[in-house]
Amino acid sequence: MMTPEDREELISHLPALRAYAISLTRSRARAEDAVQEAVLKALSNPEKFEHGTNMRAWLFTILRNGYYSSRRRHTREVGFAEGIWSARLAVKPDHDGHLQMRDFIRAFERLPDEQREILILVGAGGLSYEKAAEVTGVPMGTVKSRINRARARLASDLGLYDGPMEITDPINLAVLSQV
Amino acid sequence: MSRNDQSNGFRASDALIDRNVRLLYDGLIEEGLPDRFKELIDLIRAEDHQQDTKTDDDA
Repeated sequence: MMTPEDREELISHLPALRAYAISLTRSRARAEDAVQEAVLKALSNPEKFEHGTNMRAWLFTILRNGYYSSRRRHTREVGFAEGIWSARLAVKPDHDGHLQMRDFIRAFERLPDEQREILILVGAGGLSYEKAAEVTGVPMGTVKSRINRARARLASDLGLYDGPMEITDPINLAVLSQV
Repeated sequence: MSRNDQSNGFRASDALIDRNVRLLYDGLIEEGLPDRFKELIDLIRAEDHQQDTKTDDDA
């Protein structure tokens, strides 16, 4: 049974669940349907949540399973990502950074679905490799190799090299100074 | 060190890539939840109320 605290925690994960769903479905409307279905499933199967475990990973797993199950049932709706990332572009203040982000989005969109997903889960969602493996249902070694391939492909597409490179964007410089 | 530096051989380009992915993801989170989620949140909390009522009835 879910405690009131569990339910509040579930609510606190909704923004992350929606963000993950958008990255999977590449559509806000479909993502919100997927979140709704996942939450209803979670509420109707509370016994499957083990207290003390990672609720976000549990919810991501339910959402992902539901999405892929639905996608198998229906003809896959393939389409451009309807500018799902563009909102963030609008608030990027730095011209140099803005151009780099636009290039990055294009390269990111070209990644295979499974590579883009794993970057979202680990690189942005903060899941460990182990939890990302649970969510996606693949061995941890596959998670690592997908991450490495995704990063290598992005680095190649964007001309990022680990040797000397000219970076003028102060945000990027700040990131690099922490590595 | 990045919070996701879980492998050996983490490179500077990896840090830039992760930072950009986080920017995209955080942008989606910062959009907030659309109105239709209010009903969902009410539903989640309503289940608490139902359980409380059931517990009271059982007692």
